[in-house]
Amino acid sequence: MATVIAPNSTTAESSNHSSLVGNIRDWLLMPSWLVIGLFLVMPVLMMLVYSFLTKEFRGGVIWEFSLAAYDQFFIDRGLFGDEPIKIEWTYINIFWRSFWQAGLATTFCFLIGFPTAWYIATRTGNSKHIWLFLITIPYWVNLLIRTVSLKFLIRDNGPVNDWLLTLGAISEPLSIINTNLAVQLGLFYSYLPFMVLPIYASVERYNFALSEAAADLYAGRWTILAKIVLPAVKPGIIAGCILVFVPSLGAFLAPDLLGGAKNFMIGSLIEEQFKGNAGNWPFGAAISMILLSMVLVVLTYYARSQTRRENS
Amino acid sequence: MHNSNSHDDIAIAICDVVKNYDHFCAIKNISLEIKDSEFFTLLGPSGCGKTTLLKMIAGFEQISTGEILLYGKQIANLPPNRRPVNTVFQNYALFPHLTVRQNIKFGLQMLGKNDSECNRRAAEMLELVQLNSFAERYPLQLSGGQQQRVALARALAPAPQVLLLDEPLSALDLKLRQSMRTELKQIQQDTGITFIFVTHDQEEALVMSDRIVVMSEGQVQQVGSASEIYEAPSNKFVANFIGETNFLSVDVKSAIGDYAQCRIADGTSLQCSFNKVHTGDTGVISIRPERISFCSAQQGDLRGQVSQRIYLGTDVQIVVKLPGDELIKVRMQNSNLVAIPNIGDVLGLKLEAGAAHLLEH
Amino acid sequence: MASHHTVRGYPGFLSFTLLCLFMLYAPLIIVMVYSFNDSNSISHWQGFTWRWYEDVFFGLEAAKFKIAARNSLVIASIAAIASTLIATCAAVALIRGGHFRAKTASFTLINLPLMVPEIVIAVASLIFFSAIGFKTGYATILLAHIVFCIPFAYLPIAARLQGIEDIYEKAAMDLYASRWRAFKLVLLPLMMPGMMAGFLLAFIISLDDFIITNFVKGAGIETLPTAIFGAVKQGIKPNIMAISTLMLLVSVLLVTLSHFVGRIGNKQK
Ligand SMILES: Nc1ncnc2c1ncn2[C@@H]1O[C@H](COP(=O)(O)OP(=O)(O)OP(=O)(O)O)[C@@H](O)[C@H]1O
Ligand SMILES: [Mg+2]
Repeated sequence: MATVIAPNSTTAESSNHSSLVGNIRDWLLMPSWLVIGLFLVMPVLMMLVYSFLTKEFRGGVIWEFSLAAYDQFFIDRGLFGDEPIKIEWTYINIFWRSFWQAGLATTFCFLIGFPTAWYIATRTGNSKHIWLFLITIPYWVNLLIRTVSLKFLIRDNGPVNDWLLTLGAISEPLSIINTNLAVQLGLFYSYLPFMVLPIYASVERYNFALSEAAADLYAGRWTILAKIVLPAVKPGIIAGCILVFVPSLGAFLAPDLLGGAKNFMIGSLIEEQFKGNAGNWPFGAAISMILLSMVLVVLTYYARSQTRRENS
Repeated sequence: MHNSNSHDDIAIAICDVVKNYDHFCAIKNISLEIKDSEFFTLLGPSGCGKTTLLKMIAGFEQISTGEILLYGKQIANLPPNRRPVNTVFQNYALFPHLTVRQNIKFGLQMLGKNDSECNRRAAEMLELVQLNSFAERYPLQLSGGQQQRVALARALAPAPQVLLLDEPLSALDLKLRQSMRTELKQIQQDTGITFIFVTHDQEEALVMSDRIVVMSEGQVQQVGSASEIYEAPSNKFVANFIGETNFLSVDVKSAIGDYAQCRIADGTSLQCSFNKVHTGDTGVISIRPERISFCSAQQGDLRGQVSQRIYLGTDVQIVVKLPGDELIKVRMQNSNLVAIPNIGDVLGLKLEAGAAHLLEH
Repeated sequence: MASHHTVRGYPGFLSFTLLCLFMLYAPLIIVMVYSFNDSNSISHWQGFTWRWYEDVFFGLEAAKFKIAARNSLVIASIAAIASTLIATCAAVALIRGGHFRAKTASFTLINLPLMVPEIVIAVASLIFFSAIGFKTGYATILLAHIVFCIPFAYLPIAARLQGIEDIYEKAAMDLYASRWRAFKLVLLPLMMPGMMAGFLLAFIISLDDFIITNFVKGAGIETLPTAIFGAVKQGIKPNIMAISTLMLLVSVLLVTLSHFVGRIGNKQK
């Protein structure tokens, strides 16, 4: 009977003829796949390959397999490479310092960012938009310019020292620049808005009836904050922490402009490997790979916790 | 296969249509014929598949098997933009970036009509729905009722062969809904376009429709005019879904012609209307509450004690308990002319002729 | 009233907010103010002057900055247009394409540039271009910028598209519009505010970038950030502060613009 055959053949031909996208979906995705695949995924893979090649002295590589880059990172063989093997601490220490600085920046951003986000999210009407707008503007100002501004402000003969000297509060200029503190300040200042915005979004969605219920059951406001609010807005806090921590870890401008030579972080270490003839491309590629894998671990962990939340 | 003579008066024929979603069968083999120029209503509880059926006619959902014919032509494999069928969407789906007039002209422009024709037709439609003075407004500047009428005008403008309406009145408030019912019906009669109307509001269905199909769980329960469905429900679901009713289980004692003699639990005999029953069957009878009146305990077809009295404004509902413990609802007009029974009264119940309706079991 | 305040308000949170704003704005405002300082030593306030702005436009380094600014603008415009187009296609496919196998993978891929640290993108791009023998310059900067602008353009476009019910396209197709016309006449105008916001975001992000540009720019080509960085390495001179102030104003202008575009869009919806 023809009645049965006709619709079946249609189903096969186009499963979804009322959808706007229909069968050109793959074509629409093609450009993004191509561009990102070709100019990001491929480069990262190429970087992985480079980290296993031999360095050439004027920058670049020789196409010969070598573990030298990772060897240099982890293992200390002495100045002439003939001493007993020890762990090389120089680079691990730089990583350690970067993690420490990034962690500290994240903590400070959270301590200041949470009350700010909370305060803004609990405003009503237009004033909320204005506060939010004020917080987002610095985020959109060029990071380089913000870092330079900070450098200008706190350097030895900068306005802060100038005022303090004029006021007589100090007799010697404070040397903040080129210290860990300056780097810390720079990181904090660079990524603070990243902390505020996701927490703000979470608090926005928070159901204040929960707080009222807790208050009704005799909880004090700080208990409510700790036991009810924080668990409820945790996704926003975690997102904010990641958004501050990850870029801080690979930051280049703040340590470079504010930290000087003594306060190296991963970013500067990597950059140095590609600068001029003194560079070491395989080594730079290897450091980048190590940094990338650490970041991916953090992000995977985050993604896992997100899926777990959604499932529960 | 299909009788070609019937093509002119059958607007839409739905033949053995089945719709399967991934693991769920939303439409389980439905066949329907919707006549030309008819106001046809799909009625059923939430989730019974009304929207799904409508979307398959419009072309937004693919049918799994079966076929849909529009005036004898197979349309199941055409995309929505090639079907001469238009939809009034539940929340209107008016294009927010176009004015009322531009919304109404949209379909005409897509059909390639020239400018003067578009404008003429749009003006006609604006006239029809009485929105002349709102033509240059944007949808968000209109009230719900006005938006509703724009949606109607937009769908009618290309003069579709069939107009589909998915619960178009459900977003309106009660008063507006009631006035739109008459307006919609009037427009349908004036234009002569076949309307397929979806609702889960039985009153709406009864008031507006030429014919109604009652659906449940993806199946047709009954097709018929409003009075057929109300007066002669073909099964317990329909009787229960449309209006209020009393059910009593019975044994069929004898059946002659259209009538059957039945016995309820306490032994009382009742005469019921029905045609195809056999002596000895068991069944259910349905009696509408407004078809029962009170009389003295000695008279009447049934006897019982008043156990509840509910005030409904225009009406009063009395609940009577029969000797076999069945509860019977009786509805009477709230009037000073008749005495309203009190709780505890023992009274007789009289059924109008043909009020007891025996249902398929 | 009391309960409303106890659960929403916490004492001291306002001070934190003000502190936060102070920290974010103080350096910027001070640089703005000192860009008008009539002193070569710059740290000491010695009166108002326009001369550093004159210096930016007509001074010794004016030509260099002019070229750098033009490069920045050209690259940002092209990168923003390209990434907005790519992101729009992707958003339509991902949000209107129903469920399909590569959906999560595509989504991850589009957001990948946000997840990989900038310095790593920079290194990877440099290595890639050098490995395939692609000469660093304009084209490499542009390609790298398009890549990392895609997720920024994608976010507002996708957010906007998600807020538009698919009933509008369906209504258009019900009224005899083909897919393409339903897209062009109905969905596209509705998406436009999202696309504008995406474009502006991508534009700012491209204009902002230093690290990646610095790696892939090759010799001879400078954008504003790399030119400023180079100059800052020699010490913060007053003309740098004047340039910074100008760029700052441009950013604020763009953000305000995108903010209002977004609000108009929301109102229309
Ligand atoms: N895309 C889908 N995938 C799976 N199941 C679906 C889908 N769309 C609808 N259904 C199911 O099909 C059944 C019929 O849905 P339909 O929308 O037609 O109901 P309806 O009669 O219009 O109800 P209502 O009166 O609430 O609008 C429902 O049980 C629904 O859950
Ligand atoms: Mg429905």
